[in-house]
Amino acid sequence: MKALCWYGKRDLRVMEVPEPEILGPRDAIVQVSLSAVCGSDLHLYNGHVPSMERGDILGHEFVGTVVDVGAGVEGFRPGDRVAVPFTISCGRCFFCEREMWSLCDNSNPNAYAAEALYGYSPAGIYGYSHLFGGYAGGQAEYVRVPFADSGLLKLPEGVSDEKAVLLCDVFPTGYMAAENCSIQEGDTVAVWGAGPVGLLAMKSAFLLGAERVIAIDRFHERLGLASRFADAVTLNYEDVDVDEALRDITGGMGPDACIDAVGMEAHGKGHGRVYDAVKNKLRAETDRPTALRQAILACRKGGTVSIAGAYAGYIDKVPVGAAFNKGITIKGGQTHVQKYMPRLLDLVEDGKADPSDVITHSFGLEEGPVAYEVFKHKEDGCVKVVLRP
Amino acid sequence: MTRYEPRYPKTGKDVNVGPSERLLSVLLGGYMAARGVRKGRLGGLATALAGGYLVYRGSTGHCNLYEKIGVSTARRAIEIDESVIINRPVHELYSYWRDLGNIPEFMRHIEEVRVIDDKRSHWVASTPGGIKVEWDAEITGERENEYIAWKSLPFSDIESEGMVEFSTAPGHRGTELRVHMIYNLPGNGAAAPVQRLLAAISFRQIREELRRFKQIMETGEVPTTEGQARGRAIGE
Repeated sequence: MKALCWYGKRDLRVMEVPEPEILGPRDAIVQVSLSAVCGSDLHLYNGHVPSMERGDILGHEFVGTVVDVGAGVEGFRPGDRVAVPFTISCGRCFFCEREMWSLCDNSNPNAYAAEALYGYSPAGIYGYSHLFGGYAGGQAEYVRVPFADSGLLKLPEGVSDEKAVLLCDVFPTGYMAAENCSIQEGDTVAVWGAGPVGLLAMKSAFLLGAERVIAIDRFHERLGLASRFADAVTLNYEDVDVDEALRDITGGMGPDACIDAVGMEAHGKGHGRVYDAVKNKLRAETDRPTALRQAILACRKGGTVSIAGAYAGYIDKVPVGAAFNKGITIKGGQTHVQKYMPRLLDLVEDGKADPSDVITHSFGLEEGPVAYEVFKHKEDGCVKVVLRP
Repeated sequence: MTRYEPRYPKTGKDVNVGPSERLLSVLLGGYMAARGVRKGRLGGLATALAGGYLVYRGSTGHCNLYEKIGVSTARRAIEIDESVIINRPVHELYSYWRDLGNIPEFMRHIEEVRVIDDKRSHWVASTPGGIKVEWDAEITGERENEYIAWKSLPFSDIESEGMVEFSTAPGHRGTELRVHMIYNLPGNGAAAPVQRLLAAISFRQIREELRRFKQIMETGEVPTTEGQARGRAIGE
């Protein structure tokens, strides 16, 4: 089968590889009909996530059809159309039982490595480095799904692949980011990053009762989409002082909640940007937290900073004094996808949300390397890319 | 307030002098004591006292000076304590573990455990070099759903003892399991495979074994990516 494989920093190749096989009793094999490229895939592409190995198959957002199941899989059989959550979760441990699916105790075969870096290991993730298990991803014709009985969502006929593929990560991630803000009636939510997760966080903030949503980015196309798709007030940080603008918009109080939907490769401007660039080069810092710093400083007293953009390692100069003295709550984490999928599928089915509006580009799987370049440079107004095998 | 204490505190004074050095210490001390006593006078008394200390040091294997400067010439036992919480009831875990034939399912370096009778069993381990090490072990104590203790039989290649304890974890979290193991390091005469096997034993290995035990009990399998498709297989 064809698969999109990582061969190094900005070196992806479409390879002919063996088809996946059932390895455990609770495995399923899914024939992929559509996969998507995530912003966090770009972190891998740009070489920011350690423990990638040459030949790793990428992709953690994919939908398709079950073609084979292991002896221990109940509730699914060949022919079922499914969406697959990006977090691999056993469904039986302390964390899964409490709906903290992305913290599954059992799904990471390389837990010892993650423990060395993080203290305790999070769940395995498809195609997201060996630190997260080294599982083959879904930017391929077929994929193996471990713990299929707690890792698959059956899709009704009326829901298209394009809508469903956003249930694998992006929509639940945006939704959890908004839910983590504990939004109260009348709240203003500021969102850094108008990429797919940011846009869906904005949409979700309204669904959860926000009065006003502010989008912060530097791309006019993305801010335009934030305004059209999510009805957000937009700020281009290259044109305005974000801190001042947020203060002004909120009557001098600051946003009630701030969502960092950017993560470890923030751009920003000014001396902070230079500082991080130098420290990254010196390997004295792994991630660039420009958006996070700004979010903490901008947040109103007693507000919430919700982190949806991915971080992997260490960051410097985080204004912890501001966070502490303003009594800010900081929440984040990989998304508990299985928790949110069913309710978001309902919203999609009822026509209350159409996440596929964020898809701007579609490529064949064999054009994968080009698709990553287009997405990375946000060429041609690119927001979200899907790949069809 | 309760202060944290290691679960198995060391008792008495540690042996920190190696066996040949202990023998030398006794012999030299005895000689010095005899000479000192024969000599008489103050200098002789000092020699005799020093000799006496050397005899004491050799016979107990404990040297105060070594302790002060943090030196030890004794081989020590490998002692490992690990714990894990498993989201299953005590009786399930206890009965799976007590059926010793299950042990190779989660202890990767153990190839086979053959149950001889109610108490005794024969263990086969494969070493990093690929050579097998075998020994017999005996269950020295057990209480259903509480603990199992075992020990290698005399004249085994491996001298070890261990204990696994099961207790209900608070907050409906299943079972708290604690493993305590001691491997006594053999002298220089031990076979190379035995030494290799023991060199590979560490708290990390035991932790991984307990992790696999947890995975089997909670999910019914040990999650793996071994054998999955990847680019390198055909591309390179």
